[in-house]
Amino acid sequence: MPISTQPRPWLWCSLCLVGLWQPTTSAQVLASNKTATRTTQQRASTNGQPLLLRDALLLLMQERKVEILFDERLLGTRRTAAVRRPNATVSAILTHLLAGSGLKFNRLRNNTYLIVEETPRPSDRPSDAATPAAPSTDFGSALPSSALPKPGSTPPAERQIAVDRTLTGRVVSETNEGLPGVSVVLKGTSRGTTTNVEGRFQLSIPEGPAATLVFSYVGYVTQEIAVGNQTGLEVKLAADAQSLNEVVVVGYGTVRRSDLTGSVVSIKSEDLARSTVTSLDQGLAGRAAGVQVTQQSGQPGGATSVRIRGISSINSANEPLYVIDGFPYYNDNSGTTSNVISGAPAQNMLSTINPGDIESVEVLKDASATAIYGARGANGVILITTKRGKAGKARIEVDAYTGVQEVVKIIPLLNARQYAEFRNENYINLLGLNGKGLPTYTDAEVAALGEGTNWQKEIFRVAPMQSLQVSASGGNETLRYSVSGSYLDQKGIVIGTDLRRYTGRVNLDAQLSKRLKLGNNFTVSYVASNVGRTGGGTNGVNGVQSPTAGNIIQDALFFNPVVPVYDANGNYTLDNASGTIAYAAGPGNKGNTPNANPVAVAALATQQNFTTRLLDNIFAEYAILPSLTFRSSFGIDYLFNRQNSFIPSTLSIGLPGGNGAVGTANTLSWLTENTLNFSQTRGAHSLQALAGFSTQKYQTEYLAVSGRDFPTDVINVYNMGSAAIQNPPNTGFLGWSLMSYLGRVNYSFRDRYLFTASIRADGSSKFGANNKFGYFPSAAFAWKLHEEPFIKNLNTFTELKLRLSAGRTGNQEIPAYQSLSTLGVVRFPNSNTAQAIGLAPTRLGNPDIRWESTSQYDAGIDVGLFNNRVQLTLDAYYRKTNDLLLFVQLPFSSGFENALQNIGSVQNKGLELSLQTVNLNKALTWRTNFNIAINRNKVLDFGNETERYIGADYNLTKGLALGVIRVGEPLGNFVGFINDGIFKNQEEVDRGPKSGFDYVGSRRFVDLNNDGKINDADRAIIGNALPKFTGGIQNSFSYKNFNLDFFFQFVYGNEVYNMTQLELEFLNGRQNQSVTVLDRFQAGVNENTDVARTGGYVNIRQTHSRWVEDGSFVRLKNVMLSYDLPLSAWNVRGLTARLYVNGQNLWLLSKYRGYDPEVNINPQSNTLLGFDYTSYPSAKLYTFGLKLGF
Amino acid sequence: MKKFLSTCFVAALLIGSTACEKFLEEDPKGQVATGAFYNTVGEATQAVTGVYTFLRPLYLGNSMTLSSEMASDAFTFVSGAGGALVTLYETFQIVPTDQANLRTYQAGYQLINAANTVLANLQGKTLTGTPGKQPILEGEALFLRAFTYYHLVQLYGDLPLRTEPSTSVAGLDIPRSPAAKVYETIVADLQKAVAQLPERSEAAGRANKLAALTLLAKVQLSLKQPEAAVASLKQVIGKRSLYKEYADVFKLANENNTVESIFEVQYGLSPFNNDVVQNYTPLEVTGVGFVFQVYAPSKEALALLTPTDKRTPVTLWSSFNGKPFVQPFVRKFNDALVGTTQANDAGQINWPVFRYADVLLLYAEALNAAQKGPSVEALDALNQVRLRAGLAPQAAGLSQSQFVDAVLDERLREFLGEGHRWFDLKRNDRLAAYLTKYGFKTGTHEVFPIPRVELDANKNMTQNQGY
Repeated sequence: MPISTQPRPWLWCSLCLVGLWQPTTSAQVLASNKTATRTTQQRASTNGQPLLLRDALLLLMQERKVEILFDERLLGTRRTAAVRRPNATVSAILTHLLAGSGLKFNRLRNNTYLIVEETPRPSDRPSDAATPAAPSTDFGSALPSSALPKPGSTPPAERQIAVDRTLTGRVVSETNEGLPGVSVVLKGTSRGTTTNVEGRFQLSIPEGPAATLVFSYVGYVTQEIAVGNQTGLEVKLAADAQSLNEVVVVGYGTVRRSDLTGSVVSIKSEDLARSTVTSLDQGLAGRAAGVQVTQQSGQPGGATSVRIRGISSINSANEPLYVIDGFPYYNDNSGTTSNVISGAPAQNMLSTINPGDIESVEVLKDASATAIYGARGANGVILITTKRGKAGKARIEVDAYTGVQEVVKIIPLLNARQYAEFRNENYINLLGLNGKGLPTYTDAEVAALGEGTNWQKEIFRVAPMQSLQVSASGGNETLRYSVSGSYLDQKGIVIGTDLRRYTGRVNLDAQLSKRLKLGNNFTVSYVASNVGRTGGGTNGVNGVQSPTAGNIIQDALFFNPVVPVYDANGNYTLDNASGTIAYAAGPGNKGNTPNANPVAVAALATQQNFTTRLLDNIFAEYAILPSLTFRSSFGIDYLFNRQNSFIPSTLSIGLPGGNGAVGTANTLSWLTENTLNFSQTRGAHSLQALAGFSTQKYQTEYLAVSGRDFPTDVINVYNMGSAAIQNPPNTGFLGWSLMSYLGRVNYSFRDRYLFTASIRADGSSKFGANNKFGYFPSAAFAWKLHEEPFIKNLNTFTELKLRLSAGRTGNQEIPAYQSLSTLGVVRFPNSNTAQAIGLAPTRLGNPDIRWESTSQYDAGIDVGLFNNRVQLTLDAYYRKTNDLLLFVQLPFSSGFENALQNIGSVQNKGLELSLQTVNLNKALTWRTNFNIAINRNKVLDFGNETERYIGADYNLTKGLALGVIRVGEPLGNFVGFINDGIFKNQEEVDRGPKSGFDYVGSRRFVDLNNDGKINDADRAIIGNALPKFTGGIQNSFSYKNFNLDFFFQFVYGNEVYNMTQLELEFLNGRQNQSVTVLDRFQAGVNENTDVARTGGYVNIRQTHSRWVEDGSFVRLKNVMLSYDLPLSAWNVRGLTARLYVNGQNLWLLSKYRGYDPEVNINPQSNTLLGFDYTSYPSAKLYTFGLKLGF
Repeated sequence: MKKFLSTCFVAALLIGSTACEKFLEEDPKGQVATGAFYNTVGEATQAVTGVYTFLRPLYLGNSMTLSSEMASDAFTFVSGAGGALVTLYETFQIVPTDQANLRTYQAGYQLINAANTVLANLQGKTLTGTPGKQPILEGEALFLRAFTYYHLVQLYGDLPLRTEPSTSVAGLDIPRSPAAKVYETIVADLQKAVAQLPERSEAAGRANKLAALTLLAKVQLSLKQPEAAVASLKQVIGKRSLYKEYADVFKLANENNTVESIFEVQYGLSPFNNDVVQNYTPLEVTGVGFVFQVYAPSKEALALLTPTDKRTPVTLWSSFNGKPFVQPFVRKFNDALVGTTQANDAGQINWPVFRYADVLLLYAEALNAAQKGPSVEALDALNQVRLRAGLAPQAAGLSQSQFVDAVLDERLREFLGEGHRWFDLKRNDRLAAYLTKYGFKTGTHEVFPIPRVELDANKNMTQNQGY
């Protein structure tokens, strides 16, 4: 059977290279020859007969951490007798082992050997391959690389059959490295050869253009090339990203993809490089089934929310655990580490990591994968592995890009004239009601107005961005390094906003002795950003107050279009300069809104964030035995965050005398981990075991000061002491600690039946004295059906694997100290101007509180067809979270309102499908990656409540619930009245139903209980923010030196509560409005409409169904075209250069009327989802870049 | 080597398990763990200060004036915020889900738990620091607990009686104790407080012996023990006096005075503003958009406050900046701050809980009850208050019952808006007589409903009859 068409007989065993339980894979050359030999001897003597050659090779692979390729059929039942020399090289041992077996080996690469038959050929020259192979020797054509011609040497003289001609060529990887050991076979024959160390080959082929060569190599996509009349070929093989032999990082180790028993999605650096993302969470959106990423704002470095397999908690956090090179980190955007002063936009601490440093991202989804993270695993785990050095020549890579961003959409608003007319109508309508109003603008003034100021256009800009990254990596057997530095300068699409990031990273691996290895991962980053006053809406006191001035986006939407940016003197127009009489009506007051000139706010107000992060993890590994390794690591994660906020007195919102705040937070987290790894294969049995102990401590201290009324605006935030009014400083401390024991066993039998069991015991300081430790077990079973003869014989499946897993994980992301009874500081005025500090019981501790517990069951199937050209992964899961940590109502007679207790339950169930296909694999390759995920969420138990209305203290609609948690319903429900149009005439008003604000032209709601009244009882669930399904599809084309990727992301079936639109149809005459208001109700003029009349009706801000919009969308998230410069002619070894252009967010298909349906102003909330309120809009991005490597 | 390393590893595991208890202990820096406190006079003083802070939400938020004033014949609802809610009080249709009612109940028990926490932690302990302070601090906590239980038992009747702090989420379902039992606790607490407290407050706003005696007298009158009340009040008579001018009582400069004041709830500049004032403040003062003017004096009250009464111009407010109001409002708590900002933070003037005029009128009330008719001494106590107001002395010759009504009228004139009316009527068994026309039903409205959430969370709780 020719090897070209049947690669399956090859048993590719890289188990040892992978080092199943070693977090680092590249330098595990630890085995002592002495021990190795003894082990082998012992085994041989125990068996009383010589070892199977196959087992001896497997053992050698394991002990020497090398790869040996062989065909099992060649080895048959051959045994090997000899005792090997302990200090010999691998080559020497192989020579010894194979002596007299009729086999020999070729060294393909450093640490890679190929076993072939010794054929009694007259010559080893490549041209011999032209001779038809004898049926008995499939490998007759495979030749030792040493026999191949040296580069640049003349091909040997022809002496073959006359009709043949000689073809020479080179096979290279995507990075233009020569690939040794690639099988090159003439299609339809058994004629073939392999490439030499530089990837070169020479082959005799029949004359004529019909010849097709098949290039195959493990780990790469098999490629067929029609030779035509060419005599020299350069063939580039594409790495098979989803190769079965790909190594996947899992918790506390790595595993071959084919040996996975859990549900893990792996995203490699190549995939991340398919778009120019500035933070890795952006790169995850749509790329992994079951992972939903929502961005709060388009602000550079803006907060995001990541949800894996739905929402499992109501009160605790729901973000996944990030593990950065082994260091666990919870990305709490709203926590004190990222938000020190109130009102600042939330920051995303993940943006401190340079995505270009990332080697791979693994998303662990099922319990088998996450239970090793115990009390923090319930929301899924995202493992981030940064790049490490590999032995070899130093390689320097430079990646530079520059780009521009622009706003995706401008919301159509009234122009100046339309606004003036609208405002006049508003007051005329009011006049009819209370006899006070007069038109604001005279007819002459209105007539003179035109378009006016489009404030959105004034604050949005085409914003440049640029990035430069330089990295160097390399090393030798004893010391390897990977060093990088990067710089990112991104301006925001809103004027005055930007982000600058500087990162540096040094990863080192040192082989101190044969047994001892040291390593260090060090990252430092500094992020400085002007975030602008673009945070979520802050608001007034009662339900009918308008938004506060000074939010740039809000101001751009609401501010008066009649007003110009600058007045006649060239100063900013500061309408409503007094700041206090915001709503006064009448002809004298043309200042319409409580809003400020957004251009002035952006230019004059300061809102800055500075973050410094140091992340260092040092580790040592000691090989106690070849099969037993001890690893110890110590790491720290230090975050220093500073925020500045200053509003000068020149802005009405800064009166009087300016308003400033400064805050800092110092966060230090340290981690120690000690693990023992055991790994051994005996015959059909393979066992790996892990035991470990880990402690982590986290503490953060914050300090914030604020004041008002500064002597001059020049002072800004740099002398807070000069403020006439000093607010009390706000300082605090927060800490927690975690102590964990962990263990895992992987066992496989005949490489077909894989079992994994793990357990972690987590002790957390956050939990009550009676429940400090929690135990989180998991078990999984996988069956590699494709290794079974009955499947193998079908010749259909390259891979067919069934996976089953079950386990329990926890969620401990609640604030610290909830189990303790504490006295809080209270204040008591002991005169009109002084106060005494008192202490009073503020929290009733609950020593019984413990983690939320999620039980998860997962069944999955992995299918590979047509030589893995089609790969499919399907998972079904059920997750049930019990012991929800909820604040449970206490009898008020206790003196306390509530206490945190473990009560309640939520379930998520879903399906995930991902499909990878190689559609074309000729000169043009076309690959498609598709994924789709469906999740259904349901609240099963909510303690002693059956429903709870939420959002009542929400700024915008204070006093009005926005959402409801109800048993039997999913989370994310919007609650409100059902819109029933507009009362068209008095008769309709009289008929009702009555809400108390019923006039001709006001909104009517559906009276659900038919009592004639609209009240709380008529509220219904009017939408849900959770999507029915989410996913993405990526197509990658490659032709010669060109690569084209385009990626669509889609979300279907979710709804968005569009509070921006609510404000833009507020109809109160105080703020600018959407053009939809042109269709407002006007008695006798325009009555057939769904927009109410203007005139100040209090019920206008009621939550109701008109503001619920379909949030489904399809987005062309990313397009990238790249071109690899043909530099081989330069003959500079290893030189590569790639030019690329990248476009993001180029196209969006959505009915949503706001800026972007992928939004939530409260991004990490579990219960108030899908709310849009003047969020920082998302941007289109175009970049042009160059990647150089040498 | 390997032996050494594996030993190390095992040691790490073992050390871990022995050290883990400590490693996992929480140290809530900046917060004080209950129990790690109350060792010095300074700490105990802060803890007692903590108890006082609950007075504001309890006694003088909107909540308490709703029950003491709106649910009486003193005030009527005009317009403004929370209209429906306020009307429910005026017309005796209060429901168990009422939020204001809940706030009173909640703040009351928060204060009681805070007082219980202090008392439990001071018991059997000798504080370091200035000697002699410990009994005073205990006395203050006892007074505050009694003060709060007095209000709660008056408002709700039978109560869950807690005299120990809540320390665990388990076992909080306490059934109601009979009102008599609650009164027993109150009297016992007050007797101890009387013995331990000094006549002059330790600091502004802190309880003193006179406050404890005044409260004790009110409790004794409620318990129909007028002789005991007379005895209690006798210890106060002569210890304070009346200001010459009624207006002086409400001057900002006279807060915490030692002339007439006995006990005040402290207010100050933001964030300690007197938030009850907003309800008494008319729209014309607060400006457009901030609609308060919730409480306006009733017709009955306006009829009692004659133009000759010197209290009338101090109490009533009829115009602002030359603009007359549609109807008069209560002005006595409005200081210079009121009306200067749009915000709802209102004034800073203290709330006079007990003042000497109250003592005199209580004394008259107690003597009348004890002696089955108004004696000269009783008339004299009443007339001291009338004379300051510029009114003619009450002539002799009233029956015991007529004298009760005369004192109640005097109290309405003297204390309008100060949170006394409903309690005064209740103490004198006049609720039905005065309030039936507003919707009062005998057998139900002598108490308010137990808040719904307490019933939901406490399975041993029962609702008051009729709610």
